[in-house]
Amino acid sequence: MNERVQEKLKILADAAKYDTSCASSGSERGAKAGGLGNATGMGICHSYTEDGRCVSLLKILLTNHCIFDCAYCVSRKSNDVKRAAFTVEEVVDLTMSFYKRNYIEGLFLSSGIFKNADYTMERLVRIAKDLRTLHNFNGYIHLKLIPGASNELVQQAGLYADRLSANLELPSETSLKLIAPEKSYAQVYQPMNYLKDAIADYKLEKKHDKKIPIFAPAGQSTQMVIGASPETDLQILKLSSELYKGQNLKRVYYSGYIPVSNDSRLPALLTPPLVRENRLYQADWLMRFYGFKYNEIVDDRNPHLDEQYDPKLVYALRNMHLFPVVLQTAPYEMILRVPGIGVKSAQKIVAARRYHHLHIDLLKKLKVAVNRAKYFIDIPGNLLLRKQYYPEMIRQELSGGLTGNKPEQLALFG
Amino acid sequence: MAIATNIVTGELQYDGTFDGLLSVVFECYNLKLVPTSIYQLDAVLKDLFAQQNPIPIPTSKEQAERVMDGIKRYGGKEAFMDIYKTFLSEDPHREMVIYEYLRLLFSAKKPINGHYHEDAVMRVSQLVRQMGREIHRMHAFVRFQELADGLYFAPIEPDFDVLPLAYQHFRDRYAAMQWCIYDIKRNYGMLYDGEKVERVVLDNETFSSIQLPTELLSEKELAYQQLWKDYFKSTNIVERKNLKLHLRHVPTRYWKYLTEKW
Repeated sequence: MNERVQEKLKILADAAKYDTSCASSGSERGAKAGGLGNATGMGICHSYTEDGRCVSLLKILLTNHCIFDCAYCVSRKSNDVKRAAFTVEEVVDLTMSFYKRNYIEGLFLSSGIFKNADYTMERLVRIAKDLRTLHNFNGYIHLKLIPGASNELVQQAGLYADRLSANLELPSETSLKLIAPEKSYAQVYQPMNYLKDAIADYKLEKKHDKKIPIFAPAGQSTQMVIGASPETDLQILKLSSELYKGQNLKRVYYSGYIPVSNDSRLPALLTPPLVRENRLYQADWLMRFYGFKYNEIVDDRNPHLDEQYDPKLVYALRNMHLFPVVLQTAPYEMILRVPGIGVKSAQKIVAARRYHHLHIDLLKKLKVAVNRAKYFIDIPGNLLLRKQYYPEMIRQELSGGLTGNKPEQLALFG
Repeated sequence: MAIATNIVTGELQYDGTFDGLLSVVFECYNLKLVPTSIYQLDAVLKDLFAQQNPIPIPTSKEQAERVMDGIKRYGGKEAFMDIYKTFLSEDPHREMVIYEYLRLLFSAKKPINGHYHEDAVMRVSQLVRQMGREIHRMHAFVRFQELADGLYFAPIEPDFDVLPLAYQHFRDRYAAMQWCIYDIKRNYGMLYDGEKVERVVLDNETFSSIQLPTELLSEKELAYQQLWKDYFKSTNIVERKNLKLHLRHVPTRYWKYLTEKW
């Protein structure tokens, strides 16, 4: 392995790292005889970087040469960084060699735009095609859809990749126009819409013909940068909700803006807005797994997520009339809304209560965070349950008890 | 032995195998024995409170299979896997937990996995989760190193005996490769020759640590390890450094597996 590849890998991994998607789940690509790899069920995180993010895929750019000049992007044309480009063979060899050693679940390939959209997209597709057809690779492949890429290439990408993603980049078109003048929502929605319909068609055909080859089995995702533009959390979550419902996206990723530029169109942040990003993911989780609608989490009166408390707790405090929940009889959907009770615990509660009366000790064994849940549940043994709680009382009791918000213990002596 | 009517209570002993433990369960029903403890052959000496002469129960494949059938009939395949995982957890009380669980299962005659108020059911569910986590970690953190002869080799030393449950994943995924995953703590491994998986025992001292000696490795192995380390460093975002979260995901005791941490 020559030093040139080593150098390229450093540059092109570094340039790709701001794309936060790491998922390798949700596909249905089984192993084939004589082939290498599979991508079924849940993904595997093979490592974690020091920033605590999962390493599941070999996430690289094909090249960081780019004709665009998007202010938020480290690879923008006007930025003075080292440029490099992999050959098709180099990407294939790295993917295969890392996969065989069980370092990765597969490849996440994106690229700067060189020459034009189709020229770039065609090369991404060729790598996926070579991996699948020449090397019999059945691991996970995530390809970036280059904005403005033609339908023919998007169709081909769907044949070889598990997941595809076109990034909206910013939570409103106005902001996108300002910060990335060469891009538009239309360019991003075009491949996204084409793929949405193509996936729907495929699913319909699959019903009649089990043998047709799988098509983008892990669906589509997108990403937007948070904190580089003035949108409220209400606007962001409304957009996400539409993307999940209207575009059938599997995931929306939120990437806290990391200052990579002194451009005057961007805010001068000292640190990335990590708490806000975290709250958005929590809200996103509530929409996807807990049956919440976006406007139950944020609304016109509260357009921003609370920084101090997580959105599920805030929802409960704002809707005290729905609590306490009687766990022995309440519907599953309502149990899910109790702060301190997750999906797994809620399922176990529903299983356990069929055979036995619930009590507080059993809840602890079922991994319910009783410290948080106790304000919101009616259950024998819950001595803390009062007739009525005022939200402020709970806020005060819980303040300091939440991760990330603990007041630092001050050292007494220097 | 305390004898009440025709039921015998006492300490029982088996050979430490899964079939052996199921034979114990069989004989408990057959001979109306109620165990107070169930010991492995050599475990008796370690327990100060043990009687020195527990009743040895011989292992019978046939009896074990009848118990297995019973578990599957009443609890389904899921209950069987739960019991097998509990056994492989090497928990010091696993035998009695399994005995209690099966007693409940055979009297209910239907799945009992929701009965969390029963200690044995709760304990089984905890141990199954614990095993699941360790299996998942092996799927994630096992690192193959290519040997000079082309075999991909991965030494492991998991907290529990998870290899019998973890290897299937690798057989599916690496069907076109020849590989071996070796548990250096329990001194046995699973070797896949491209067609079938076989249990093997190596008496070679060179395979006794997770990082294999350089002279065993293929020509390119170290270069790929270096590329992976480079990648790992480059994909990190310094501005987001969060070591607490990092450690929560990769506890330091797993670092020994990770090429990127060597």
